[in-house]
Amino acid sequence: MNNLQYEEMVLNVDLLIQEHVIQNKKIYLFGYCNATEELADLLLDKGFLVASILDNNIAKQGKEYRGIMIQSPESILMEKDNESLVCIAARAYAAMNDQLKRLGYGGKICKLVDYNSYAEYSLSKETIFRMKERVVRGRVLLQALKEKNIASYRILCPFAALGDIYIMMSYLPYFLKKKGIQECVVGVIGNACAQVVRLFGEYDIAIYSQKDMDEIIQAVLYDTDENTFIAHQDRPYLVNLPKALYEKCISLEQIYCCGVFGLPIMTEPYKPIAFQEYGRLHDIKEGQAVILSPYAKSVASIKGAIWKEIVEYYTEKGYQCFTNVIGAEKPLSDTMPISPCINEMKSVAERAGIFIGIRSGLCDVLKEADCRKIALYPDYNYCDTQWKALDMYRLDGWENIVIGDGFQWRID
Amino acid sequence: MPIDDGMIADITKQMEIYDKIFLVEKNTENIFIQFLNSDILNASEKKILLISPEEMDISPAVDFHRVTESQFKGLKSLYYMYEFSNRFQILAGSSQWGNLLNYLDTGILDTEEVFQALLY
Repeated sequence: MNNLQYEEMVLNVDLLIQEHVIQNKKIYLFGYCNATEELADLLLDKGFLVASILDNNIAKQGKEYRGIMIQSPESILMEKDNESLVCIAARAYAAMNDQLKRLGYGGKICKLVDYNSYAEYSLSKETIFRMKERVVRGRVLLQALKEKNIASYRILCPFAALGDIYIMMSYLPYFLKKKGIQECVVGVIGNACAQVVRLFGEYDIAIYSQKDMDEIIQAVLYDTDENTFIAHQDRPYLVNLPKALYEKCISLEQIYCCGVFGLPIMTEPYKPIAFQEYGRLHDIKEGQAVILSPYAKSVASIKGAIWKEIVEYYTEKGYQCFTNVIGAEKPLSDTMPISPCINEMKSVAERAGIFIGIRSGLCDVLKEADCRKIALYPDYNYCDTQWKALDMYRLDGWENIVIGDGFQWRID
Repeated sequence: MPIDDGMIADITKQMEIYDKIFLVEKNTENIFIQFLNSDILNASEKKILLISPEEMDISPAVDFHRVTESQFKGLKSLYYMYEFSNRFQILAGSSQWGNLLNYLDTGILDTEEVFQALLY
């Protein structure tokens, strides 16, 4: 969940409180994911109790988050409709809302974050009109993009995840060659994703907000714009690649190489070519420092106590400890903040000698870094599949460590 | 493309009844025709509806609803306008985004696995 989405969630929870919707009701959440953890934290901090987190994934049922049991969605049927409500901060709100209603649940279902502007499970005239207007807005944005990049084929990236952009870019040249395309413009969300694109060379880039990107993509779909390719593994809704994960474990790398781009399985990814040196490398003791990366937008967090252990371990051994931070992120206790640009991260990690990060897109950016690289995986299932994060995102040449219950930092 | 009220009423009712609704053109990829006649589909416990403007040779396990060309285009138009249901799907490949057929072409999945995946 990014900052804007988090603010939206806080606002909507406050509205529920002001309108006395949530008080004196048994609160259920639907969809166990990082966003739901943040919602649970928010409600608990405000003094509310959460009865349960509902989830379709059998692998998640029976587990707990902060003492809140994860149960099957059918559990809600034990409650009276007027004595309970379901809050949803997960992406698949429309499908979850539909599922609850089909189960026969008649209580209030509250959407707390608008993650998915593509989906509204209604065929009312009002919905169709509104969605048609959305397409019209998208056409205007698409036309502007076409006018700015007349000769170019368009590659659109529907989601702001650095790892997805990195992997996509590493296979894109093969795809362009396969289609005989000489020039392209890459549309991304936000500057950080644009920085990842630039790692791979001099591409024309168009930067959009999430809302605008959603609308352009909808226009592309509606008008069947054949000079645009949507380069993502599970967005928008027509991309059926995720269904394969119910049958087989396919790594994210293979999903992009084979599923998105249709390239042969043994295709070697391109490596980035445009890294730069961080201007303050002299602040880092060469080979005697650790760069820590504890923050990731869409990944369940790792407990502060574990990071504390890691910091203590390396501090005792005489290492400098830095925390990679952006914006309002705080450095871990007893570490120094460091904020290199994405294209400077490799030089920082190599100078330090050790990088330890929660498995996130930043780890993909550092794939080629010549240093000791440790990726920490919170113990969670990938979406609603039986596969663990490690199965999907394992990195070659890295130490891949899963943080399970009772994990203690013990490494030489 | 105009979307008529009758078509909306029909599809709304169909989404109440069926677990999966597939919209298909007759000249769709052969693999989808194979899917619609497959043992995997026959053995599925899901209630499945096929909507098409043409008669099609399909498994008796699948219900069929014939629509006019205009209604077919209307449904396609709706599908590409927004996600109005996770039960409704057009059975077609695409050169504009990644899809399961790429897994078949690259050997990641075999035909049976693609057919199973389509049923989710």
